[in-house]
Amino acid sequence: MASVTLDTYSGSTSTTGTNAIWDHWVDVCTTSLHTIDSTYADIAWGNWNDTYTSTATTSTNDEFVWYEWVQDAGVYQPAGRGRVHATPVAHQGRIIRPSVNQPERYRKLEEERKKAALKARDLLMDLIGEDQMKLYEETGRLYVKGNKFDYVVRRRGGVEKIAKDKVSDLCVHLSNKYKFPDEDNVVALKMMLEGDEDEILRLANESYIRDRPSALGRAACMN
Amino acid sequence: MGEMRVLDSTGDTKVIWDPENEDETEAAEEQYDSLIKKGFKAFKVSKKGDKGKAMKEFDSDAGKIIMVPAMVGG
Repeated sequence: MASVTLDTYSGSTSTTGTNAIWDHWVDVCTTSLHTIDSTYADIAWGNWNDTYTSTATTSTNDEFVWYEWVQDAGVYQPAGRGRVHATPVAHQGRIIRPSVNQPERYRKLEEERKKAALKARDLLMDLIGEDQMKLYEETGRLYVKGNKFDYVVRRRGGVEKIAKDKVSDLCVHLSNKYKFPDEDNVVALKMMLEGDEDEILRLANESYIRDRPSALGRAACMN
Repeated sequence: MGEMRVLDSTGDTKVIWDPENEDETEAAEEQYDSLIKKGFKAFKVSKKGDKGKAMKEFDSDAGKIIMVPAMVGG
């Protein structure tokens, strides 16, 4: 799925006209209205609570719930406990918020996330080299040659499948993708597209098939 | 040295072994087999720029092995 701008949170009731928010909640991108079936229940609940038990589960620790809802924010505080309730700000598909009385626990979690991101970046650089890594960081796109098709893997999610005269979008990613740094997802897709392309094509939801443009956008490892 | 990188929430966990050392190789292979049972897929890359190749079984001389967790369609 491509980078999206989330609808703006407007209060205790917020509506969305797209599948963008729902996709971030349940990890399944379909429509603006979605019913979770048992196939995806663990994904949805795991993204909400960080601990999946069953399709109906009681969260015993709402710190985890709150943190998983807001991902990189690290500073949202549950409302109604004498703490600050911040208004979400949409940012490249994840809600973040400037720190306000950030507790030590959330600061540590944020540090861990940053360390993980650096490690993932180093692994990708190990695979593609320093020069191509600079181009990847500039463009956020990695070109991958499969056996059947070529692909562009985007840092924030989503894959473009490039055929002879058509381009389409593939929605496929690591299960529970928000637990991984972005570059882990990119590495995973690179390996799968190069080494198990049929499996990716089987798993992915394909959409937006269009004519191939005369010039594809810049991406690392294109030549 | 053999190297296996397991993608996880910390970025990745690195497992290394000396192919000449039987114990280390065996431990690495056990870990490999355990991850495969959990649904990971294994790919080997020999040097920078090489395409990843799917592995069907543990190869102690693989160079670098990337263990990829399950993927899903979105």
